Amino acid sequence: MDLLRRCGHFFVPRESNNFRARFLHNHSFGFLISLFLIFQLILSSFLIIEPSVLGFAAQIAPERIIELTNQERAKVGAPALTLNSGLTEAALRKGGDMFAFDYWAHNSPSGRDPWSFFLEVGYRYLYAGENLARDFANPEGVVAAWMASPTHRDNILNPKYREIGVAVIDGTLAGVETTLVVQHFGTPVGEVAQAPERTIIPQAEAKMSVEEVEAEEITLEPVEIEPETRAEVAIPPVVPSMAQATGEGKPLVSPFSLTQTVSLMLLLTVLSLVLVDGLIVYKRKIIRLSGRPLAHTIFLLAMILIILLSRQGAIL
Amino acid sequence: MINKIRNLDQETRHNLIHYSVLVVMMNIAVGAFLFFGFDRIYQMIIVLAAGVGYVLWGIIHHHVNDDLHSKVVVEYILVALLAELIIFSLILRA
Repeated sequence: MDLLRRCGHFFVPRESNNFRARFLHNHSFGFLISLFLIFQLILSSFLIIEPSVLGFAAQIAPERIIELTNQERAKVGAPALTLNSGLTEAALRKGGDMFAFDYWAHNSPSGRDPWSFFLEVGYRYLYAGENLARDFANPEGVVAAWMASPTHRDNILNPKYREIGVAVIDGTLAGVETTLVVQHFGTPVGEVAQAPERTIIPQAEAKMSVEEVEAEEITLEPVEIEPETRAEVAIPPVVPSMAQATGEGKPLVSPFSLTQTVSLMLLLTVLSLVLVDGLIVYKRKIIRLSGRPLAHTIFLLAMILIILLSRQGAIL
Repeated sequence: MINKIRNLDQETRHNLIHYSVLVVMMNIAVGAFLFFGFDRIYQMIIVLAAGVGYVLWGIIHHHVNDDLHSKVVVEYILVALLAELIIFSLILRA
Protein backbone atom coordinates (compact mmCIF):
# COMPACT_ATOMS: atom_id res chain seq x y z
CA MET A 1 0.00 0.00 0.00
CA ASP A 2 2.83 2.29 0.93
CA LEU A 3 4.61 1.31 -2.28
CA LEU A 4 1.50 2.17 -4.33
CA ARG A 5 1.32 5.56 -2.67
CA ARG A 6 4.96 6.17 -3.42
CA CYS A 7 4.50 5.14 -7.05
CA GLY A 8 1.47 7.42 -7.32
CA HIS A 9 3.77 10.33 -6.50
CA PHE A 10 5.54 9.73 -9.82
CA PHE A 11 2.49 9.04 -11.98
CA VAL A 12 -0.57 10.81 -10.54
CA PRO A 13 -1.06 14.53 -9.78
CA ARG A 14 -1.53 15.09 -6.04
CA GLU A 15 -0.51 17.43 -3.26
CA SER A 16 2.83 15.70 -2.65
CA ASN A 17 3.99 16.45 -6.24
CA ASN A 18 2.41 19.90 -6.46
CA PHE A 19 -0.53 18.43 -8.40
CA ARG A 20 1.57 17.25 -11.30
CA ALA A 21 2.94 13.72 -11.79
CA ARG A 22 6.62 13.76 -10.87
CA PHE A 23 7.46 12.25 -14.26
CA LEU A 24 5.93 15.27 -15.96
CA HIS A 25 8.01 17.84 -14.14
CA ASN A 26 10.48 19.77 -16.27
CA HIS A 27 13.55 18.08 -14.76
CA SER A 28 12.00 14.67 -15.58
CA PHE A 29 11.77 15.66 -19.25
CA GLY A 30 15.44 16.66 -19.02
CA PHE A 31 16.16 13.24 -17.49
CA LEU A 32 14.30 11.45 -20.31
CA ILE A 33 16.23 13.45 -22.94
CA SER A 34 19.54 12.48 -21.27
CA LEU A 35 18.41 8.85 -21.04
CA PHE A 36 17.59 8.73 -24.75
CA LEU A 37 20.93 10.33 -25.66
CA ILE A 38 22.77 7.71 -23.57
CA PHE A 39 20.78 4.96 -25.33
CA GLN A 40 21.80 6.33 -28.73
CA LEU A 41 25.42 6.59 -27.59
CA ILE A 42 25.43 2.97 -26.43
CA LEU A 43 23.78 1.89 -29.69
CA SER A 44 26.39 3.71 -31.77
CA SER A 45 29.23 2.27 -29.68
CA PHE A 46 27.77 -1.20 -30.06
CA LEU A 47 27.67 -0.75 -33.84
CA ILE A 48 31.41 -0.19 -33.79
CA ILE A 49 32.25 -2.95 -31.30
CA GLU A 50 29.84 -5.63 -32.55
CA PRO A 51 28.78 -4.80 -36.13
CA SER A 52 27.58 -8.34 -36.79
CA VAL A 53 24.81 -8.08 -34.20
CA LEU A 54 23.30 -4.75 -35.21
CA GLY A 55 22.58 -3.97 -38.84
CA PHE A 56 20.28 -4.65 -41.71
CA ALA A 57 20.18 -7.39 -44.31
CA ALA A 58 17.18 -8.13 -46.50
CA GLN A 59 16.06 -10.77 -48.94
CA ILE A 60 15.72 -8.89 -52.21
CA ALA A 61 15.67 -10.77 -55.48
CA PRO A 62 17.25 -8.80 -58.36
CA GLU A 63 14.83 -10.50 -60.77
CA ARG A 64 11.91 -9.02 -58.85
CA ILE A 65 13.44 -5.52 -59.07
CA ILE A 66 13.70 -5.94 -62.85
CA GLU A 67 10.14 -7.26 -63.06
CA LEU A 68 8.78 -4.32 -61.07
CA THR A 69 10.84 -1.87 -63.13
CA ASN A 70 9.38 -3.28 -66.34
CA GLN A 71 5.88 -3.13 -64.86
CA GLU A 72 6.36 0.59 -64.21
CA ARG A 73 7.74 1.10 -67.73
CA ALA A 74 4.78 -0.77 -69.25
CA LYS A 75 2.41 1.69 -67.57
CA VAL A 76 3.90 4.58 -69.58
CA GLY A 77 4.47 2.59 -72.76
CA ALA A 78 8.26 2.44 -72.44
CA PRO A 79 9.87 -0.71 -73.90
CA ALA A 80 10.68 -3.51 -71.45
CA LEU A 81 14.32 -3.76 -70.40
CA THR A 82 16.23 -6.94 -71.01
CA LEU A 83 18.70 -8.34 -68.51
CA ASN A 84 22.32 -7.81 -69.54
CA SER A 85 25.05 -9.79 -67.80
CA GLY A 86 27.57 -6.99 -68.41
CA LEU A 87 25.36 -4.47 -66.63
CA THR A 88 24.78 -6.95 -63.78
CA GLU A 89 28.54 -7.34 -63.44
CA ALA A 90 28.99 -3.54 -63.52
CA ALA A 91 26.35 -3.18 -60.78
CA LEU A 92 28.09 -5.87 -58.69
CA ARG A 93 31.43 -4.13 -59.07
CA LYS A 94 29.91 -0.78 -58.15
CA GLY A 95 28.36 -2.26 -54.98
CA GLY A 96 31.63 -4.01 -54.13
CA ASP A 97 33.51 -0.74 -54.61
CA MET A 98 31.08 1.07 -52.28
CA PHE A 99 31.71 -1.48 -49.53
CA ALA A 100 35.47 -1.65 -50.18
CA PHE A 101 35.91 2.12 -50.02
CA ASP A 102 33.08 2.68 -47.54
CA TYR A 103 30.96 5.27 -49.35
CA TRP A 104 27.30 5.89 -50.12
CA ALA A 105 27.37 8.06 -53.22
CA HIS A 106 27.31 7.84 -57.01
CA ASN A 107 30.93 8.92 -57.21
CA SER A 108 33.61 7.28 -55.08
CA PRO A 109 35.73 9.36 -52.68
CA SER A 110 38.56 9.12 -55.19
CA GLY A 111 36.30 10.66 -57.84
CA ARG A 112 35.47 7.50 -59.74
CA ASP A 113 32.11 7.91 -61.50
CA PRO A 114 29.47 5.20 -62.09
CA TRP A 115 30.19 5.02 -65.79
CA SER A 116 33.69 3.70 -65.26
CA PHE A 117 32.14 0.42 -64.04
CA PHE A 118 30.23 0.09 -67.32
CA LEU A 119 33.44 0.53 -69.28
CA GLU A 120 35.36 -1.72 -66.91
CA VAL A 121 33.21 -4.71 -67.88
CA GLY A 122 33.39 -3.78 -71.56
CA TYR A 123 29.87 -2.40 -71.83
CA ARG A 124 30.06 0.33 -74.48
CA TYR A 125 27.01 2.47 -73.95
CA LEU A 126 25.07 5.07 -75.82
CA TYR A 127 22.97 5.92 -72.77
CA ALA A 128 23.58 4.91 -69.18
CA GLY A 129 22.00 5.47 -65.78
CA GLU A 130 22.32 4.40 -62.17
CA ASN A 131 19.90 4.13 -59.21
CA LEU A 132 21.04 3.20 -55.70
CA ALA A 133 19.10 2.02 -52.64
CA ARG A 134 19.98 0.65 -49.23
CA ASP A 135 18.32 -0.90 -46.20
CA PHE A 136 14.98 -1.78 -47.74
CA ALA A 137 13.16 -4.89 -46.57
CA ASN A 138 11.66 -5.88 -49.93
CA PRO A 139 11.91 -5.14 -53.69
CA GLU A 140 8.49 -3.42 -53.73
CA GLY A 141 9.75 -0.87 -51.20
CA VAL A 142 12.85 -0.16 -53.28
CA VAL A 143 10.97 0.45 -56.53
CA ALA A 144 8.23 2.45 -54.75
CA ALA A 145 10.88 4.72 -53.23
CA TRP A 146 12.58 5.25 -56.59
CA MET A 147 9.24 5.98 -58.24
CA ALA A 148 8.51 8.58 -55.55
CA SER A 149 11.69 10.47 -56.46
CA PRO A 150 11.47 12.42 -59.76
CA THR A 151 15.12 11.83 -60.78
CA HIS A 152 15.03 8.10 -60.05
CA ARG A 153 11.62 7.76 -61.72
CA ASP A 154 13.06 9.46 -64.84
CA ASN A 155 15.74 6.77 -64.96
CA ILE A 156 13.22 3.94 -64.53
CA LEU A 157 10.84 5.28 -67.18
CA ASN A 158 13.43 6.57 -69.65
CA PRO A 159 12.46 5.04 -73.03
CA LYS A 160 16.03 5.42 -74.29
CA TYR A 161 17.25 2.56 -72.11
CA ARG A 162 17.16 -0.95 -73.53
CA GLU A 163 19.01 -3.09 -70.97
CA ILE A 164 19.28 -3.44 -67.22
CA GLY A 165 21.49 -5.05 -64.58
CA VAL A 166 20.69 -5.25 -60.86
CA ALA A 167 22.92 -6.29 -57.97
CA VAL A 168 21.83 -6.87 -54.38
CA ILE A 169 24.81 -7.02 -52.04
CA ASP A 170 25.23 -7.40 -48.29
CA GLY A 171 28.15 -5.75 -46.56
CA THR A 172 29.24 -3.18 -43.99
CA LEU A 173 28.91 0.51 -44.71
CA ALA A 174 30.14 3.02 -42.11
CA GLY A 175 30.25 0.18 -39.58
CA VAL A 176 26.66 -0.93 -40.16
CA GLU A 177 25.51 -4.14 -41.82
CA THR A 178 23.70 -3.03 -44.94
CA THR A 179 21.95 -4.40 -48.01
CA LEU A 180 22.73 -2.36 -51.11
CA VAL A 181 20.74 -2.41 -54.33
CA VAL A 182 22.53 -1.14 -57.43
CA GLN A 183 20.47 -0.72 -60.59
CA HIS A 184 22.28 0.00 -63.86
CA PHE A 185 20.52 1.01 -67.07
CA GLY A 186 22.11 1.10 -70.48
CA THR A 187 21.71 1.18 -74.21
CA PRO A 188 24.67 -0.38 -75.99
CA VAL A 189 26.33 1.31 -78.93
CA GLY A 190 24.68 0.22 -82.15
CA GLU A 191 21.33 -0.45 -80.48
CA VAL A 192 19.76 2.76 -81.84
CA ALA A 193 19.84 3.11 -85.63
CA GLN A 194 20.63 6.83 -85.87
CA ALA A 195 23.38 6.90 -83.27
CA PRO A 196 24.71 10.41 -82.76
CA GLU A 197 28.39 11.18 -83.05
CA ARG A 198 28.49 12.24 -79.43
CA THR A 199 27.18 10.18 -76.59
CA ILE A 200 24.59 11.56 -74.18
CA ILE A 201 24.39 10.03 -70.75
CA PRO A 202 22.45 11.05 -67.67
CA GLN A 203 25.14 12.37 -65.37
CA ALA A 204 24.49 11.72 -61.70
CA GLU A 205 25.80 14.53 -59.57
CA ALA A 206 26.15 13.54 -55.96
CA LYS A 207 28.02 14.83 -52.97
CA MET A 208 30.72 12.48 -51.80
CA SER A 209 30.74 11.24 -48.24
CA VAL A 210 32.51 8.41 -46.50
CA GLU A 211 30.24 8.13 -43.47
CA GLU A 212 27.03 8.75 -45.32
CA VAL A 213 23.85 8.61 -43.33
CA GLU A 214 21.76 11.20 -45.10
CA ALA A 215 19.83 10.98 -48.33
CA GLU A 216 21.40 13.21 -50.92
CA GLU A 217 19.76 15.00 -53.77
CA ILE A 218 20.70 13.69 -57.16
CA THR A 219 20.17 15.67 -60.30
CA LEU A 220 20.24 14.16 -63.69
CA GLU A 221 21.53 16.33 -66.45
CA PRO A 222 22.34 15.17 -69.93
CA VAL A 223 26.07 15.49 -70.43
CA GLU A 224 27.77 15.13 -73.72
CA ILE A 225 30.98 13.17 -73.82
CA GLU A 226 33.42 12.51 -76.58
CA PRO A 227 33.21 9.03 -78.08
CA GLU A 228 36.91 8.59 -77.37
CA THR A 229 36.21 8.56 -73.63
CA ARG A 230 34.50 5.24 -74.20
CA ALA A 231 37.75 3.73 -75.29
CA GLU A 232 38.47 0.13 -74.45
CA VAL A 233 39.48 -0.34 -70.85
CA ALA A 234 41.21 -3.40 -69.52
CA ILE A 235 38.90 -5.39 -67.23
CA PRO A 236 40.48 -5.75 -63.81
CA PRO A 237 39.92 -8.82 -61.66
CA VAL A 238 36.64 -9.07 -59.78
CA VAL A 239 36.47 -6.85 -56.71
CA PRO A 240 37.14 -9.27 -53.85
CA SER A 241 35.01 -7.64 -51.17
CA MET A 242 31.73 -7.76 -52.99
CA ALA A 243 28.65 -9.90 -53.23
CA GLN A 244 28.24 -12.20 -50.37
CA ALA A 245 25.03 -14.14 -50.80
CA THR A 246 22.09 -12.51 -49.09
CA GLY A 247 20.72 -14.19 -46.01
CA GLU A 248 23.83 -15.69 -44.48
CA GLY A 249 25.16 -14.19 -41.27
CA LYS A 250 22.23 -11.79 -41.05
CA PRO A 251 22.44 -9.27 -38.21
CA LEU A 252 20.11 -9.95 -35.31
CA VAL A 253 18.74 -6.46 -34.74
CA SER A 254 18.34 -3.44 -36.98
CA PRO A 255 19.41 -0.18 -35.23
CA PHE A 256 16.47 1.53 -36.91
CA SER A 257 13.91 -0.97 -35.57
CA LEU A 258 15.47 -0.82 -32.11
CA THR A 259 15.36 3.00 -32.09
CA GLN A 260 11.78 2.94 -33.41
CA THR A 261 10.62 0.53 -30.68
CA VAL A 262 12.35 2.41 -27.86
CA SER A 263 11.07 5.75 -29.22
CA LEU A 264 7.49 4.48 -29.38
CA MET A 265 7.66 3.06 -25.87
CA LEU A 266 9.08 6.30 -24.50
CA LEU A 267 6.58 8.62 -26.18
CA LEU A 268 3.62 6.33 -25.43
CA THR A 269 4.61 6.32 -21.75
CA VAL A 270 4.81 10.12 -21.70
CA LEU A 271 1.49 10.35 -23.57
CA SER A 272 -0.23 8.00 -21.09
CA LEU A 273 1.03 10.06 -18.16
CA VAL A 274 -0.09 13.29 -19.83
CA LEU A 275 -3.55 11.80 -20.45
CA VAL A 276 -3.93 10.58 -16.85
CA ASP A 277 -2.68 13.95 -15.62
CA GLY A 278 -5.09 15.84 -17.89
CA LEU A 279 -8.10 13.74 -16.86
CA ILE A 280 -7.42 14.12 -13.13
CA VAL A 281 -6.79 17.86 -13.43
CA TYR A 282 -9.99 18.27 -15.46
CA LYS A 283 -12.13 16.15 -13.09
CA ARG A 284 -10.83 17.75 -9.91
CA LYS A 285 -10.80 21.20 -11.50
CA ILE A 286 -7.23 21.79 -10.34
CA ILE A 287 -5.87 25.18 -11.31
CA ARG A 288 -2.12 25.20 -11.78
CA LEU A 289 0.60 26.90 -13.79
CA SER A 290 1.73 24.40 -16.44
CA GLY A 291 1.45 23.47 -20.11
CA ARG A 292 -1.90 22.28 -21.45
CA PRO A 293 -2.25 18.47 -21.30
CA LEU A 294 -4.50 18.57 -24.39
CA ALA A 295 -1.84 20.47 -26.37
CA HIS A 296 0.84 17.97 -25.28
CA THR A 297 -1.49 15.13 -26.28
CA ILE A 298 -2.05 16.56 -29.79
CA PHE A 299 1.68 17.16 -30.30
CA LEU A 300 2.74 13.76 -28.93
CA LEU A 301 0.12 11.95 -31.02
CA ALA A 302 1.45 13.66 -34.16
CA MET A 303 5.02 12.68 -33.25
CA ILE A 304 3.99 9.07 -32.54
CA LEU A 305 2.27 8.98 -35.94
CA ILE A 306 5.47 10.26 -37.56
CA ILE A 307 7.47 7.53 -35.81
CA LEU A 308 5.02 4.90 -37.07
CA LEU A 309 5.21 6.33 -40.60
CA SER A 310 9.02 6.35 -40.62
CA ARG A 311 10.37 3.80 -43.04
CA GLN A 312 13.77 2.29 -43.26
CA GLY A 313 15.71 2.65 -46.45
CA ALA A 314 17.51 5.33 -48.43
CA ILE A 315 17.84 6.00 -52.13
CA LEU A 316 20.46 7.86 -54.09
CA MET B 1 -23.26 35.40 -13.45
CA ILE B 2 -24.33 36.07 -17.06
CA ASN B 3 -21.04 37.89 -17.62
CA LYS B 4 -19.19 34.93 -16.17
CA ILE B 5 -20.96 32.53 -18.55
CA ARG B 6 -20.32 34.91 -21.44
CA ASN B 7 -16.63 35.06 -20.49
CA LEU B 8 -16.49 31.30 -20.21
CA ASP B 9 -18.08 30.95 -23.62
CA GLN B 10 -15.57 33.33 -25.05
CA GLU B 11 -12.72 31.43 -23.41
CA THR B 12 -14.03 28.11 -24.69
CA ARG B 13 -14.41 29.59 -28.16
CA HIS B 14 -10.87 30.97 -28.02
CA ASN B 15 -9.52 27.63 -26.87
CA LEU B 16 -11.44 25.82 -29.57
CA ILE B 17 -9.81 28.02 -32.20
CA HIS B 18 -6.39 27.61 -30.57
CA TYR B 19 -6.61 23.82 -30.42
CA SER B 20 -7.98 23.65 -33.96
CA VAL B 21 -4.95 25.61 -35.15
CA LEU B 22 -2.65 23.17 -33.33
CA VAL B 23 -4.47 20.14 -34.82
CA VAL B 24 -4.20 21.63 -38.33
CA MET B 25 -0.50 22.39 -37.80
CA MET B 26 0.23 18.85 -36.68
CA ASN B 27 -1.84 17.36 -39.52
CA ILE B 28 0.16 19.39 -42.03
CA ALA B 29 3.40 18.20 -40.39
CA VAL B 30 2.37 14.51 -40.55
CA GLY B 31 1.12 14.88 -44.15
CA ALA B 32 4.30 16.65 -45.25
CA PHE B 33 6.45 14.01 -43.53
CA LEU B 34 4.61 11.32 -45.46
CA PHE B 35 4.82 13.29 -48.73
CA PHE B 36 8.59 13.62 -48.50
CA GLY B 37 8.89 9.87 -47.93
CA PHE B 38 12.62 9.34 -48.49
CA ASP B 39 13.98 12.89 -48.42
CA ARG B 40 15.60 12.97 -45.02
CA ILE B 41 16.62 16.62 -45.17
CA TYR B 42 13.03 17.72 -45.83
CA GLN B 43 11.74 15.33 -43.18
CA MET B 44 14.10 16.84 -40.60
CA ILE B 45 13.06 20.37 -41.57
CA ILE B 46 9.37 19.38 -41.24
CA VAL B 47 9.88 17.85 -37.78
CA LEU B 48 11.90 20.88 -36.67
CA ALA B 49 9.18 23.23 -37.96
CA ALA B 50 6.51 21.19 -36.12
CA GLY B 51 8.47 21.49 -32.86
CA VAL B 52 9.08 25.23 -33.24
CA GLY B 53 5.43 25.75 -34.22
CA TYR B 54 4.30 23.83 -31.15
CA VAL B 55 6.46 25.94 -28.80
CA LEU B 56 5.25 29.16 -30.46
CA TRP B 57 1.65 27.94 -30.20
CA GLY B 58 2.19 27.34 -26.47
CA ILE B 59 3.65 30.81 -25.92
CA ILE B 60 0.83 32.54 -27.84
CA HIS B 61 -1.88 30.42 -26.21
CA HIS B 62 -0.66 31.05 -22.67
CA HIS B 63 -0.07 34.72 -23.42
CA VAL B 64 -3.67 35.10 -24.62
CA ASN B 65 -4.88 33.24 -21.52
CA ASP B 66 -2.73 35.44 -19.24
CA ASP B 67 -0.83 32.55 -17.70
CA LEU B 68 2.45 32.72 -19.57
CA HIS B 69 5.41 31.89 -17.33
CA SER B 70 9.00 30.96 -18.10
CA LYS B 71 8.40 27.55 -16.47
CA VAL B 72 5.60 26.88 -18.93
CA VAL B 73 7.77 27.91 -21.90
CA VAL B 74 10.54 25.58 -20.68
CA GLU B 75 7.99 22.77 -20.43
CA TYR B 76 6.91 23.22 -24.08
CA ILE B 77 10.55 23.43 -25.19
CA LEU B 78 11.46 20.22 -23.31
CA VAL B 79 8.49 18.25 -24.68
CA ALA B 80 9.34 19.44 -28.21
CA LEU B 81 13.05 18.70 -27.69
CA LEU B 82 12.37 15.15 -26.51
CA ALA B 83 10.16 14.39 -29.52
CA GLU B 84 12.52 16.09 -32.01
CA LEU B 85 15.53 14.23 -30.65
CA ILE B 86 13.73 10.90 -30.94
CA ILE B 87 12.58 11.50 -34.53
CA PHE B 88 15.92 12.92 -35.65
CA SER B 89 17.64 9.78 -34.31
CA LEU B 90 15.15 7.66 -36.18
CA ILE B 91 15.60 9.56 -39.45
CA LEU B 92 19.38 9.30 -39.18
CA ARG B 93 19.19 5.57 -38.44
CA ALA B 94 16.83 4.87 -41.37
